[in-house]
Amino acid sequence: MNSLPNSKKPSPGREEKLEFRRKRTVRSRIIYSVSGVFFFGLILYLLIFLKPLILPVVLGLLAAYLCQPLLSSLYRKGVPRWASVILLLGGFMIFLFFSVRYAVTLIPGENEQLQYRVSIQDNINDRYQYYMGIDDDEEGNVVYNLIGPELDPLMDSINRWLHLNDQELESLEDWAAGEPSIDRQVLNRYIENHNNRVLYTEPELLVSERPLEADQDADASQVDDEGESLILSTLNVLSIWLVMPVMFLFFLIDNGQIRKGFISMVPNNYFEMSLTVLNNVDRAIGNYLRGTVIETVLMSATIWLLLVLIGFDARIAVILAIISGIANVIPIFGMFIGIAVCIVYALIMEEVNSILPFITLNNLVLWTVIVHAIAQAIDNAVYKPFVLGRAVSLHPIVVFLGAIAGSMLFGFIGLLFAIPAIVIIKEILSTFFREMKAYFLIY
Amino acid sequence: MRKIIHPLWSNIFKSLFREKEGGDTELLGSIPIFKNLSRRELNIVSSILFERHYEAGESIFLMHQPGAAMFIIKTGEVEIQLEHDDDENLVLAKLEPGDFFGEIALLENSPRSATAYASTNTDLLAIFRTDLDKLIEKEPFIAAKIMKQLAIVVGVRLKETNKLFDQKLDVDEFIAQ
Repeated sequence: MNSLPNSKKPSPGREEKLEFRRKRTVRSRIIYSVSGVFFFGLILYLLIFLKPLILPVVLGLLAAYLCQPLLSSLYRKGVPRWASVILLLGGFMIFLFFSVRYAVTLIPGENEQLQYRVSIQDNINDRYQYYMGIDDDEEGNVVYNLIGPELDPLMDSINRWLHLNDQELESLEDWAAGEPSIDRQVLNRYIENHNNRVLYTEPELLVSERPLEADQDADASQVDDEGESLILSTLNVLSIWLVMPVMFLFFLIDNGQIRKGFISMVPNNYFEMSLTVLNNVDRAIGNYLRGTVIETVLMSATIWLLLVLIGFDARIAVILAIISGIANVIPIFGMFIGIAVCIVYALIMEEVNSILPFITLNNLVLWTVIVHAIAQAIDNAVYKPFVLGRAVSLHPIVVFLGAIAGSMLFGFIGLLFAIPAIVIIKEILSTFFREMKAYFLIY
Repeated sequence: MRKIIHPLWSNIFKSLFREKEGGDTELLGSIPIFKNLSRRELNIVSSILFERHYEAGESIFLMHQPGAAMFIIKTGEVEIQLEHDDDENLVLAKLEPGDFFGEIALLENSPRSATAYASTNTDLLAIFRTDLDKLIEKEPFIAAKIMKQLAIVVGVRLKETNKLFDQKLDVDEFIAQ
């Protein structure tokens, strides 16, 4: 109180200072360690228990990331940022709506499914017998004698799976009687073949292994539960997928705040380097992802055109082409997924409407393979060099192991996203270490 | 490892509890590079600024490191030093609030020609070349004004360097005679 203006407080001794620093260091270590463990535990918990959310979140972010150049372009043309965001969100929602609506129209009704089952069973057996050279006396060609004993049980299990029980058959006939669009003659032939279908492995008539409705009545309560759980699971799926447009919107609205927030956590020594890494990675990944999306669209369009040319139904060809185009993201193996899906459909097709007269149901499988070979040639010669520019080089072993690990962790979606994820991680690591060296942070 | 983890976590806590900063636009307006910008334009520029705090003695960048950002001093002091082989650094300049350095990094990706240290506790604003490049695409009018002023500043500094060089030559000639 009475101290002079220039008087100083008695400074603590050297021992006290050291003790204070030591305590502070210990306290800091404890707080940072505990919060670090808690933070990483939380991230791990979220990744494991909110696994169903990962895909919608990733897809929402990906869509927003791909739309960023469009947003900048609209802004440059004088459209305010908020209007650009609303425009893109609207476009995204309309795209989602029409995609879902189109997918729903392709899902057949209950009776249509029964019709498809008999027709698919008939076509697939016809095609099998043709390729294997199985005639009435059941003597096959060389291929059949070589691999027939392996394929026969597979065909039998496919037939058992497709076979209708008596009630399903009755229901199909009742429905077909009231449907003028159904070709009764063709359906009757299918049903007749269906009823006379004989197993390949044993000379006896095929019988359905599905229980009749009478047996199912015993489990009526269970069915009710299933009905309820179906509604609940549909609502669950909807609520999970609502995350996608929300993520899309938030990521579009973000005007660099996420990046700023991230950079503010980086220590001063790494400040310039981390922003350089972020920018380089952003540029490389942006180019790769945008290139991949354009390549997928071009490949899908090419495959669709070629499939229609060889006689595939244009509506179904859209789905097959999209699957093939998306699978093409996986180097080397993706092509085989596309071919396999198209061949399966070619095997169950009822008729070919090709403008090329030499394409028939019997050589359609061969033409499906040729279509994919042509599409791959165009992709490698034209699309990849122009769209992707510098090829992302991954060793085939990395591709193979990555694809397997991805599919084991997240199924088909994991298989699909494994390679882009590996490319992104590779790009981040290589840029990170290059810049660390450039900034003299490591040798 | 501890050196890396400790500052990382302490920075997370700093950023969480840091008080809301303000007044960056006024500081920006006083800097020659941004002096022709309106208040709205300064606000847009301030949205791409990063604020950093450096303790006394902490290096901001080292000589020969790649340059990616220009720094503006908000508070504190910065020393620009030229590193010598004999461990004694030559102090080229002492900079104060409102001064800026590392402006060449906004134009090209060349290595830093000197080292910058915070001589007291210092708050800096950093602007990155890549963000300026994006600004050129998004806001060409603002970016054009900045680039013009940047060219003037670089030109003035080149003239000053030439003048110093001439003076040095004159002195050397005088000594030789």
